[in-house]
Amino acid sequence: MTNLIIATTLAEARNAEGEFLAGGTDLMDRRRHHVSTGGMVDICRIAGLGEIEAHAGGYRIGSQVTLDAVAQHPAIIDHYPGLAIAAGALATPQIRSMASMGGVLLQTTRCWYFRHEAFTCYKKGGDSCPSREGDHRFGVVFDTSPCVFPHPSTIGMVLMNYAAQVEINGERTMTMQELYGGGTDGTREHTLAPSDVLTQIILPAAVNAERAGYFRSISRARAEWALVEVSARLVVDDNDQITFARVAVGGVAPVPMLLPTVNDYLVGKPATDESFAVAAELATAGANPLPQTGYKVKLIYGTVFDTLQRAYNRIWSGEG
Amino acid sequence: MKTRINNTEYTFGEHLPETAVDLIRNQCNLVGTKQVCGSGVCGACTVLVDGTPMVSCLLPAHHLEGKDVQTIEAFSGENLHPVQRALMAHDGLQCGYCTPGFAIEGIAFYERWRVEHGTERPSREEVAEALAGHLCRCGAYAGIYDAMQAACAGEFDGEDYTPQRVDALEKVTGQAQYTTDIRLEGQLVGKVLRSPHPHARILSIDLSEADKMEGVEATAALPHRNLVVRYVGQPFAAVAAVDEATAQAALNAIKVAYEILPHVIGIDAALAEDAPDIWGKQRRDAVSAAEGATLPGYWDKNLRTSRVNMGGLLPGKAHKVVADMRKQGKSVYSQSYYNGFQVHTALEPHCAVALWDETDHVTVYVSTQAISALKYYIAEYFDIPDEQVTVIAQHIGGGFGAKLALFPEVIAAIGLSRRCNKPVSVVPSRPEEMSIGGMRPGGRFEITIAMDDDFKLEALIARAYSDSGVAISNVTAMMGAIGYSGGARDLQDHDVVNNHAPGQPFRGPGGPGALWSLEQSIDQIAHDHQLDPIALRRKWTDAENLRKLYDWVEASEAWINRPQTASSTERFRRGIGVAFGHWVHYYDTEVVIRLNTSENGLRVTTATQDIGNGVRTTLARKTAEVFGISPTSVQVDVGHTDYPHGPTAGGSRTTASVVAPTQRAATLMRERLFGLVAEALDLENAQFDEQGIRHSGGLLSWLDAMKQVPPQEVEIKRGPDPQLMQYVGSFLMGRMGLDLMFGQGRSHAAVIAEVEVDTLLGKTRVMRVWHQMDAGRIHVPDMARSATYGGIIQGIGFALYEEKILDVPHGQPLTTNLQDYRIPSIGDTPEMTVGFQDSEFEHVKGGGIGLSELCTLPVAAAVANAVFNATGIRCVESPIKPERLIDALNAKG
Repeated sequence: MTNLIIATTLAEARNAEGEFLAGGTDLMDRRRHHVSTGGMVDICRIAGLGEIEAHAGGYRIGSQVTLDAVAQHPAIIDHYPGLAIAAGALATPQIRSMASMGGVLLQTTRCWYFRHEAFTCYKKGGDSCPSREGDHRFGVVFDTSPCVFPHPSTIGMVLMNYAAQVEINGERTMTMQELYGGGTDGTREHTLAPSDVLTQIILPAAVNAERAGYFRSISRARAEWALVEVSARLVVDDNDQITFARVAVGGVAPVPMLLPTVNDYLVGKPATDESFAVAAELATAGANPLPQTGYKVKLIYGTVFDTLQRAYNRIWSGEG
Repeated sequence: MKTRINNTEYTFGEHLPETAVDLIRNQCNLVGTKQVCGSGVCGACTVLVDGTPMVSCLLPAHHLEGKDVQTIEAFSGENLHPVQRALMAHDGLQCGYCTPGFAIEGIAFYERWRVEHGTERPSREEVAEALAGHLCRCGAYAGIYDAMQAACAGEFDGEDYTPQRVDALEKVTGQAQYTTDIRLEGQLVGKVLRSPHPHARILSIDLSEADKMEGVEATAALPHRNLVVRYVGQPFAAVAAVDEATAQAALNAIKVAYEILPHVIGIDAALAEDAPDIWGKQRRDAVSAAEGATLPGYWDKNLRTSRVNMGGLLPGKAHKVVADMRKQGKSVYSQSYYNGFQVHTALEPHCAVALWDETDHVTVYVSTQAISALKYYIAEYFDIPDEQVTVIAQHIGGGFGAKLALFPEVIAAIGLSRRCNKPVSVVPSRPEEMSIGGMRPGGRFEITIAMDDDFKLEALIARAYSDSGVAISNVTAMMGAIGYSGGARDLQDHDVVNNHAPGQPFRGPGGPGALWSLEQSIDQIAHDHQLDPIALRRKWTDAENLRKLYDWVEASEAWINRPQTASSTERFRRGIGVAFGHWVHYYDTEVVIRLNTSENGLRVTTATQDIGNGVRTTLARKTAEVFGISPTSVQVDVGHTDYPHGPTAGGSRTTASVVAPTQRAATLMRERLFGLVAEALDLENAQFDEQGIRHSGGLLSWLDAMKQVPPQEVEIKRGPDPQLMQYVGSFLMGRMGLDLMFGQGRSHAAVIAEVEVDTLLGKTRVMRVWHQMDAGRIHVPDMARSATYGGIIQGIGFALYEEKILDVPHGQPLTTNLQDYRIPSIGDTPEMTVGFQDSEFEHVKGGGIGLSELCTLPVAAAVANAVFNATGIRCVESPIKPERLIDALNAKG
């Protein structure tokens, strides 16, 4: 391949022209279907990006680590169960063996207009959103951006819920919110410059006795992009009172959404279906669905409720 | 780059393709690995990389550097794996195109499982989780579950296995050759230029730039004088070049001037006052979505109405009955139902490889359901004698009705090859295939039913407004005429043409949609009047075969124990639904079965093709049964037009066409052998025996007997059934075309479905299906059962998941990949129980008919009725996706 550069150092990668290639699960799909046509810079051979290790009281995960490795890692399973469940539930086993953590965080939108050769859009340098004008049944319910398709990254949503940070170019760190921006720029999925390499994911210290759940609403049993997906983390005391709650939702906005009002509500409440139902209702506050996405408001309710139950009951399954 | 593949060291040069699948298929010629979706969803391209299954369509080729790769070819001969033996024994395959991927993944799972669990049997859930990255369009999942569980439990660790299909070994080892796998010397890549506009007049096509490009060997375009394209994806030019990239560049270099015309998408828009007239004066060119002849009709701009009213002479009376009953204040049921478009998306796309020789003879490898018919179509199109055309299709990666015609890829391959005298292959991409490769028409079905005080049918009015894109000739309302009797009827079919790709016949054309409406209507009427749904149906028919199916339903535990409708307030609600299907059948009178003997044994030949329907197995079994030998000792050769005329695999006609002549040929051959051998060997006291020739010296088996005499040949033609004509309603049925004959009698199916509806998330799962059919004698029960499993699964797809979606402003199909278009996966497969009445159809030679269409017809309606039973929600629109159901559930409260 003449348009491929295999970088072995960060400096080489940063100075090369082209889209970064890691596991290939996003980029090769777009190339086969003529949506990406420029050069490629393979960053898989850059040293030091393939480890999961204890770091600063928490853990750090190299950006080249695969989803499967995260899902199987004993420390991640123990300390960040919501991440392990999600990493083991999304896509398919083959994809999880190939896709890198960095790649899934920075993947391009799954919008069927964006991935269609015949259409241009804000994310392809155009000046319109054909989905807004056309079919947007899989679109957002929090309409804050000119582009109406939700952010694609499950792992991004979960890491945001874990207050993770990412390291860029081995030099600086930023929060997940900073990585994704405020959800108003319809032209891109994240705020990194084209030459920025996401090098590490930094997880803060684990929360003791955390119960976590991840669930996605889909139409079939498995292997489908989420209509709505939720990450929930709870700590419950001996009296079944919630002492810690973190809930995030994906598939509904241009960037993954944290739900602080839901967290605030849950803390101090008994871990019961009644509490979860109120929390689920709160999760829908402020929704301004598009003409075809009203159903997703109901799915936010249902998925938040379900995922809180899963978290509380420690159900280790993200689909089905 | 160095890579170890199947224990061979490969060294690749600078020019790597981008993905591993292209490297494996095109540079290593290991074509058992299939490239289907190109998005990592279907798993057909799965290979083991250092022991881990990966989708090679997304794996960058250069990532294989230094790796140890195993493709399906590594698992053959003495390396045949227990999982492959299990897949053969449990018939976990049909067309076989997805099979190498499943086998590779299954092998990895088995190896992992054994280490962790020994010979413990994995649950269905565990198997489904492991195989979640694979899709099978035929729906062979039931066999795959059984095979994986049995293999992991150690049942196939020994060498012994009995394959259900005679061609199973080729399929599980990746040796089965499909059209996409043909690699002829000097073969070029052909590509088709398609309209980017839903409606446009082509003013000019300039091929000159493309012609000048290095590596471009041929270009071709349709005459563009007044050429109007009416849908996105309509083909009109093509190129052949040395490789994919050059062919793509050449397509891009073709300059086309379009005059954009206004377009419409959807029934309502097409019928609106201001809609453009899509066919205008060219209505005679309108393509047909039908399998048989186009019925006469009349046009009102974009609305075409069939002149044939299946209601016979009483449509006026039907309306009068309804009007009178309404006047009297009696209840009349009236409801509109809607169906989305179901795409065939066979895993092998519509593809062809053509090569002309110096005698003006063309050989065409093609993924088709109809080699014999295609031979004539090609001869006619290219204006050459029939005998100068050879069509070959050894294995076909699914068809489901979309590969019956002379499709554009065949014309392009043949036309381009003729221009450059080199072999040309044309293989559409998955987005092309999913855009224009065929869909089951959707539309609106308006139904009105009036009954007398005893609930007997007084009037049935059905108006089908079918949307098959630019195509016409839908027959949907007619379904109201079969199955139930009595009352006046007005059954009227309309086509509403609009600017998207033509619909094509799809497994029981018109049937699932019509039954979606009719069988749900019956269920609703029964509910409204507090009647038992079976008791109500008994009032509508007295056909004996149906009565027996009603008995079967009433005796079924699942039906007896069904919940009260909408009685649960739980989040997860179970429901049971029933529906019935009825179908006509075709057969081909001209089919000839040739049976030969030689020193090597028996050989059966006919120019049919095995699309996964198992015709090779049917021919082998029916021959073997007569001779009392194993089916594997009969050589079956199909898929080549040098053989005598064989049936198209469409209209469920194969079984009814081939079984009787095969049995007759075998019986005649056996009689002939007896006479010849007894005489030649001068056997004492020679006596005819099922096993062979019994004589004073012992028993001479039939296989040994045929070695004693020169090779013999018997040819038997199918011919017609005794009674040629019959009436369906008032419409005269009989000979439909060249080789298509309407058979007599009806086949019937009963389906009980159990669903679980998650009312919180609007999600429906089919848990169990009980399926019972009456299609006469079942000649090969395990093939019939596998076909039925597939029909159930495709019916579930129709009911719950599958929908082609179009962008209205641009007329572009949006569901052009297997992520956004959702076919059922293994985890969506219910537990299925399939049974047969096994009656004898005395009016049919051989006593039984095909059932591949029948089996799928009532499935979707049974699922919808089960959803009603669970929730009290009548789902008039298919598919019942969460985005639809959650709104209905919330509206109900």
